[in-house]
Amino acid sequence: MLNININIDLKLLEKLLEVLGGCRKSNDIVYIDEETIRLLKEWYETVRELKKREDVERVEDIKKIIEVVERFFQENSFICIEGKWYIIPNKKPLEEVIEKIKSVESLKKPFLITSIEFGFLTEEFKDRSKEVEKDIMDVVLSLQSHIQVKYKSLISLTVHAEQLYNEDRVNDAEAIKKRIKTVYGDFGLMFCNLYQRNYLKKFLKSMKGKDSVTIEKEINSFFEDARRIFFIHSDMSLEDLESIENQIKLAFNDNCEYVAIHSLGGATVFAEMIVKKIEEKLHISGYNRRKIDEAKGERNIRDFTVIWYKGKKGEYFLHLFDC
Amino acid sequence: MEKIKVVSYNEVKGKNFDILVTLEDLEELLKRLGYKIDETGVILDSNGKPVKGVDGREINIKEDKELTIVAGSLIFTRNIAELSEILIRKGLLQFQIK
Repeated sequence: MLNININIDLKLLEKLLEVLGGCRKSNDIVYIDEETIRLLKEWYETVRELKKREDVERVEDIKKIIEVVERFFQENSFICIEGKWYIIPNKKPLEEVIEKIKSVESLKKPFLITSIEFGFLTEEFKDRSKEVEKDIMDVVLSLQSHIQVKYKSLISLTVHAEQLYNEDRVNDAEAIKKRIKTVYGDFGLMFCNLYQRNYLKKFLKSMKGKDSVTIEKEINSFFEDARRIFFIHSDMSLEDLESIENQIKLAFNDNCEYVAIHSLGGATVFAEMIVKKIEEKLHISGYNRRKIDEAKGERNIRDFTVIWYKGKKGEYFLHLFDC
Repeated sequence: MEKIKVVSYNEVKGKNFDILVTLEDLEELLKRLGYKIDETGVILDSNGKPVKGVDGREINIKEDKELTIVAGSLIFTRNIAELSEILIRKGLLQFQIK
C-alpha cells in the first residue's frame, strides 16, 4: 500500500483549466488572489517531490495528476504587477522578458525573474510596505553609504519577518532570519533580533543629531554590550542551546550588568529550560529579575523572556527594551 | 474579493511585470540570453566564466533554489537577504516613514 499525500485541490485545478481554456480563445487573462498563488506554489513543489519517487509510477491516478499539473505550469505564465497576480494562458510573457533584457528597456524599468517556489515570498517581501520611524531612518541616512545600505536591508528584512510572525507564519519568518544569518552573519542576526525586541530601535533613535563618526563608534559599543542578550530559536540544536547556557554562565562570572534571554513560540520551551538550569546551578544574587511570560501579537504567540540586571548599564538596557 | 477572475489583457498590457518561472523555463531563458549551465548546475556566462552572486560565490541552478534575477542589470541573487540588499541599492524597496 502506498502512502502518498497529494495536497492538490482538484476542483480548483479543474476550474483554473476551464477558465484558462476560455481565455485562450478570447485573449483574456486570469487574475488570482494571494491564496491561490500560494496554492499553486504548493502544487508545483508537491509534483516535483512526487516525480522523485519511483513508486508513484505504479499508480495511474497519481501519474495522471502529475501530468496535468506539469502541463499547467508548462503552458501558462505567472506574472505579478504591483502585488497583483495574473495567469497568462501562453508563454508570451517569457518571450517579452527575453526581448526586454536584450534591449535597454529593462535598465529603465528593472523587474524580477524568480522561481515558482519562491516567487510568491519574494514578491510579498518586495511589495509590502515597511514602516520605519522617522528618527530611526534619519540616523541610518546619516551613516556612510555602504552601512546605510546594509542597515536599510536588515531593517526591511526584520520588519517583514515581524509581519510574518504576527500572521503566525513562523516558518516563513524563521527562514528569513536564516537568510539574514547567511548573508550578514552573526551581526545580521543580532541586528534583526535586537531590532525586533526594541533595543536597537530605541538605541538608534537616541543617536539622532550626533555625527556619523560618533554614531558608528557608539553602535560598535552597543553591539559589544548586547552580546549578553540571548535569543533562542526553535531550530537550535542541543549544542547551540548548551553553548548559550555556557555563555550565560560566563556572563554572570564576568559580572555583566545586563543578561537577558528572549524567546517566542516553540522556542519558549527551550528558553524556559535554560533559565531553570541556570538559576538552579548559579544561585544568582545581586541582580534584579524581570520575567515576561505572555501571549503576544494578533495570534497570541507566547513570549518568554527573563532579564537579570543591575547597575547603570543594566538600567540603560532595560530602558531600551521597555517600550 | 474573488479568488479567480477573468480580466482583459489590457489590464496588464504594456505594464512592467515580474515573472515566476519553472526550472525548465529558467534554463531556457538563460540559454537564449547566452548563458550555459555546466553538468553540476553552475551558470556560465558567454565567456564561460561562472556567474556569481552578491557574496562572490558561484550560482548553481540546482542548489540555489531561491535564485532571483534582477533584470536589467542581470544581477543574480541567491536568497531573499541578497535580493533585499540589491533592491535597496537600486532604490526599488520603499519604506513607509511614520
